[in-house]
Amino acid sequence: MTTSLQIGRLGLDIDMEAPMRWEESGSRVTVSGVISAPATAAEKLWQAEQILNLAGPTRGELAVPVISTAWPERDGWYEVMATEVSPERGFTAGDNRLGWSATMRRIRGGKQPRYELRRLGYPIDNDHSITRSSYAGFLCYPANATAPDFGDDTTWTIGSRSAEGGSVALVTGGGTVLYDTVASLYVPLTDAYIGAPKVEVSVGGSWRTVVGKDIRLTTADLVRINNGLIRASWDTTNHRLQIEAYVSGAWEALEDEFTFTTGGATLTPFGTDPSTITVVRNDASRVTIQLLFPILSGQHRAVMFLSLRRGDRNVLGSIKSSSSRQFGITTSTAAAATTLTSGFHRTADDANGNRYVICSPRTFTGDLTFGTLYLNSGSQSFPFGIGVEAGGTAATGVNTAGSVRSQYYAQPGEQIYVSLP
Amino acid sequence: MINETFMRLDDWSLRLDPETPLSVRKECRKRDQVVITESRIDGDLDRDTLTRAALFRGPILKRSNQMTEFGGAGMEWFLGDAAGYGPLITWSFLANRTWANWVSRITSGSIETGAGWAGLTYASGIDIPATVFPDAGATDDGFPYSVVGGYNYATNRELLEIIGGAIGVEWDITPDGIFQAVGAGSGNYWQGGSGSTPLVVIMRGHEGRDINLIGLEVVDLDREEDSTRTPSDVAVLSDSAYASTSVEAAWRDVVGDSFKHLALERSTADTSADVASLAADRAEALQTTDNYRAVVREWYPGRFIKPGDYVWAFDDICEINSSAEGEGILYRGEWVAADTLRCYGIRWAIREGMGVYRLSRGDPATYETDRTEVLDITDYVLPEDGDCELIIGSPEQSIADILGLS
Repeated sequence: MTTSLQIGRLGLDIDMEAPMRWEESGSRVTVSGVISAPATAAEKLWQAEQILNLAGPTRGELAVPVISTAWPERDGWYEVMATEVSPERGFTAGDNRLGWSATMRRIRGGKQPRYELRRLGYPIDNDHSITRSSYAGFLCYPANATAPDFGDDTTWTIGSRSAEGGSVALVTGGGTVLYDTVASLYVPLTDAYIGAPKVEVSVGGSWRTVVGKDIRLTTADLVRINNGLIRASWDTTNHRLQIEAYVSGAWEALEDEFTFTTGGATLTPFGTDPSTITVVRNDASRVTIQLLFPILSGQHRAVMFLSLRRGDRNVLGSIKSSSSRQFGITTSTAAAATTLTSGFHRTADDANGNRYVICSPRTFTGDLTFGTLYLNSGSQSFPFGIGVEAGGTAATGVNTAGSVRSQYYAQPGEQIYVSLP
Repeated sequence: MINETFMRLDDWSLRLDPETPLSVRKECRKRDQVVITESRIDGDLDRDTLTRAALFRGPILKRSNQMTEFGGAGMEWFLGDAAGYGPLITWSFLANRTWANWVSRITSGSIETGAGWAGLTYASGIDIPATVFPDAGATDDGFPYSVVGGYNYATNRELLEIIGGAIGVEWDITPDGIFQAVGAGSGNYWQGGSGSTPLVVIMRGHEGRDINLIGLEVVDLDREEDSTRTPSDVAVLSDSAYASTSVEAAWRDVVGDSFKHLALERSTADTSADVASLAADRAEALQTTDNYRAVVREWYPGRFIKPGDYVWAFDDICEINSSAEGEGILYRGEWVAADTLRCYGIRWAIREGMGVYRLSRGDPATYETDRTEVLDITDYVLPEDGDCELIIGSPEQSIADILGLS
């Protein structure tokens, strides 16, 4: 959609009215305006909340694109230093107006700064002898980015995936290079969030993008993570994780939903919904949410982290608990699964022609008659990945189950830095 | 501010409100001690009760500004100060002693008579529980090298550093005067963490609690590299032997040829094998001379970490990361290739809510009978704020300083 003003993720789903003042001095810009257009008081307040999340301790991103129809010549990348919101009438009155202002620092690169993906680390620690040299790397950026440069290697495979809203370029291969590199490229302002993960909260029946790391206390079914390729949400009826994939221009739900268990072979399901969901990380490279489960006997809780990266078809998950349990995952249909190193995938395509891919870096016992895995011994930590092979048996290249599993393991830390060109 | 260090002299300062009653200012004298507790403790406190609950204790060595500003050192001061003043050892030590022998030699006479341990002889003095010694027969129990030479006219603290460093022992004195020591190595924790698993995570922009980890809120994280302290090779020279070891390869001269930037150190070791092993140890120590400085926003970091503990640290700009695959942490939903680094110092503020007490310098029953033993000065101390700082990485002094070799 076109919006009158976009500051990072603000304005992406509810139109942000053009600012009334734009004061610029040196690299410092103060923008202010009034929120009056959204139809309901709830939407206005939602927008106000997201403005506050652009800066301060709940800020998610270091640098954000700013795009405005009022003064497009000053579009560029900015660091939001401080924001302020002042409601002019009651919070619930239909004609209320919320004054706002944002103080930002213009990054010297302006509209086309150097956009760097700093990657440092190793594949996730595992019991399956998977190393950075034995498995492919994984690097993703908006397909419209120009002049990408990420190190001296000739073994790249550059593919692409079509996400909702645009397509992303996907780099795999490259031996160890992708694990310590600065990938530098030029990303058009309007493409900054293509394929980027986001946290969404359902407000008044519509999914809204969350800015920063503060979300409302809400029920678990009203929060989801979404990167335009897959999205994951919590099914509060069956207490399961459900995943949808964006395939050939439409969202398709996986036929299987995923139940988390604690009892080893007895597969004791959590049987409950998370009591709170909070945002741990929220930038264009990766989002992570934390789900708190009051499930274990005694005074123990389980904490589940679910994370999405740009362009990935895996939910990167982990469960931690102060009590050692044989955590596991089981699927909701009785369909057979086929093993692959460190995990398995659904043998036959599901109703929508896709297959799930489940893996865990830990040593586990699997049951292939219907996809199940659980830790061989009790542990306070259970990392896992739930991915999607879009197109099922027809998938090729970077989209096959084996590749999706490999992409799970390629987990160096990644941060976005925007600087002088 | 309290500057707590690992096996070094701590230092501290505090300010009283300018309106502090004169009778209180007058009661905080030179060589009295200051005691800080995590919260104010009510009741009729005696020295033992108070110091067992203390975060910090140290002598008042400086007083200024109309008797409202105080400063001093930590418990190590009682073993000898930075200038080399202190209880001096006036007899010579010889080689081939176990740690237990050394401690008993250092302390024999001193503790009983109080002569060498002035200020700590009240109540139980410095306790040295037998259990803190490294196991008899273990390799760290004796000298790895036969160090010869006399150590007379050194202070107790210098001697502890020399001998502790040489035989791989690390030590600490708690606020209630307990001398504790453990064998050097990565398995030592004074506060949080165990084995090879630290408790605290230092990572920019990624703070918070995890089930088994605590991420401190990092305001600033920096790595200070200093090649002036890193030679290419280190050589150790003694009376009868010489050995050198490479520290860091690939030093090049102006035309690009290989080049040695050699550090020479003198040693009292007498066999060539000992000299070689000293050179190897020294080279290993010199490989990690980078200092890391982390500024964290934390009320009192000592709840989670004490100087001497290890931390998990990761930074992609400063390139702080583990050097081997599989090393790292699963931290708040992300796999982080964090490195384990050691914390050598913590600087923290005396905050509103903490308790501050003046402990009299002697036993009021027998000395200065007109004074109370414990005086609560919490109300008069100007609370400090600001962030805390952790010194991580290499100790600020080199291993040679500890070994007394250079």
